[in-house]
Amino acid sequence: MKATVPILAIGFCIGIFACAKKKEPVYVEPPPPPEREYVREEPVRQAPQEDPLEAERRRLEELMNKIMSDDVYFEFDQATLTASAKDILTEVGTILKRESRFTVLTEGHTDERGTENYNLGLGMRRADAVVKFLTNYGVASSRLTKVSYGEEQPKAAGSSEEAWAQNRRAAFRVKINN
Amino acid sequence: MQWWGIIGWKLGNELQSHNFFLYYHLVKFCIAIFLLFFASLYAQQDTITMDISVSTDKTMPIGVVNFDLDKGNWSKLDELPHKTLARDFLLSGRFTTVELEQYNLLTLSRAQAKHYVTGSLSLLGNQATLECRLYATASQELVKGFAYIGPLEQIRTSVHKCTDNIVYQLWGVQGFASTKIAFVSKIDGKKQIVVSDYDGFRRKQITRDNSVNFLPAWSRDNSKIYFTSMRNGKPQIFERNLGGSSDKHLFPQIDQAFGPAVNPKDGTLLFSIIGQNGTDIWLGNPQTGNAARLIYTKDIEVSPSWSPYGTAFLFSSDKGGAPQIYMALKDGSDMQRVSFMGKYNESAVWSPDGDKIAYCSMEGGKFNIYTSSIDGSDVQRLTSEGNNERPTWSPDGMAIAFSSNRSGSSQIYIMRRDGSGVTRITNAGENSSPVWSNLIKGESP
Repeated sequence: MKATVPILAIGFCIGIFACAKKKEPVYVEPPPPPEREYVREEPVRQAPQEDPLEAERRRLEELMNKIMSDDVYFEFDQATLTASAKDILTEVGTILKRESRFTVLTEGHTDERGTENYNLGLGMRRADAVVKFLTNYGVASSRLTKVSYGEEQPKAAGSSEEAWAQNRRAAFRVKINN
Repeated sequence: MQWWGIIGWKLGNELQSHNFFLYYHLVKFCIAIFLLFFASLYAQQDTITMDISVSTDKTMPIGVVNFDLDKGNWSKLDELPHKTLARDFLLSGRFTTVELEQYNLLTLSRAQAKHYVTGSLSLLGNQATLECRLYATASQELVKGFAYIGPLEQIRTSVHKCTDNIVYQLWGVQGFASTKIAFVSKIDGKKQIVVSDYDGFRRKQITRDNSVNFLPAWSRDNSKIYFTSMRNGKPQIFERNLGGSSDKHLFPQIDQAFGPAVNPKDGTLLFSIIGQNGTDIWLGNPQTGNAARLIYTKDIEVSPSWSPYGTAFLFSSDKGGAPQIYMALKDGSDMQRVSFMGKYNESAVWSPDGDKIAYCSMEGGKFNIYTSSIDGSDVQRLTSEGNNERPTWSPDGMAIAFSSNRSGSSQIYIMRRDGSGVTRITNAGENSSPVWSNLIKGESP
């Protein structure tokens, strides 16, 4: 019974957090509901205590955000990994090897130049290059999925070289598997 | 009389030499001359015959004289009928128009317009009557008249029918003034599929979800639109019945698929799929849901386009380093490269006559529309201003629609197949990827 209150509170906090950050969904699975106990209680609003569960949650979330902010950039019409792209992927790969519950969706994107059709192919080629690097690095391929968005989801608006450079990228979405 | 004499003499000679082969051809020749002579006499009397000296890329001058408008409130009309008619003629790729407030023989003759069109519009209650009359310029004789009765909102459609009737009368072929285009329009920042009349009027939004909807294609009977949507977080092909509002996800057994092209003979779809080893082309049946791979390499293969006979198709592959246009037979065999000029050639579409392709080619970061023969020879650039993409042929092959950002935003344009007569048909927002609907054969204008 005593253990239920903080667990519900944490669940509640996670709920609020998930709602607040709707634009960038964080796929944190709530902790498994307590077994046997069916007493429903209103969750008590209180500051999260320094609980090992909470600390772990925060640690995982930081790692996930780290991976999701690590976009990998490409040259025009290219899917070859640059030196800085490989540095980023090494960091990502290291985290993934340590956190075996993480699964990652790699999105391939292109800039607006080129045709919509061809850019869907090019986006996938970029996602392929990233996934290939990570599997060679030692991440199980079963944990890595990929999708191409082509030129359909630019990160930066506009038709400048700066915007294009931002948009030629592979981006990550991380989930925790139990 | 002497002429007959010569032929008679020749005939006699041939008979004497018993050369029956030559004799046969000589007789055929004489009969042809004889018939042509009388046909030309007949043609001078009959103003309906078409001018066979007009080559396909030359246009026929035609006069459009302002219609008589009944006294009444025409503010509900988005355009007066003679304006719609004149643009139809221009967009048809067959005519140059001389627009006149009233009949003027000198102006029409100077423009070599052998015919002119005028008519009237009147309103009785809610019923509008559109009369449309084709005249011979010189004699002012009526060649043919058409009348349409219907609600005022239908007048545009009636004017298009009138255009098609006149095209049929003067050219003997079915025009496309009653066709539609599907295209992609950015609505609230999201790409949506939109359908409109071929001239950009009477738009109707087809998709409404919050993702990206693009790459539309018409079913053979124009009753459905196939398109690609990212609504499930990845590219997938959907089918929308234009009478309804729900979509069917096609080929769910394939993880990621996009860019369908409809076989004009059997309705099967070619499309691209994103697989474990690159982007390939598959052939699928939208009715049964069956699909199988057709072109599969480690390279990117996209943008299939069927031949008008449905026996072969064009597509793009970057197996040479950058996208180039290739051709293959229906079963994926006999793959041959078609485009050799330019570094980035894409979005090829096969002309309805089967003799040409239109495609876009990138130079210095900008696309232009080109045509060539199907073997890649006789390359002609049709555009030069701005970035020009996604050509689509009119169903009779006389015109090409495409999207261009030459005005500052992406809009849809129609030009004649030789690149002349460029006309913008969309104005607001961002519009791209036009695809022309099919002409239903035998549907009388």
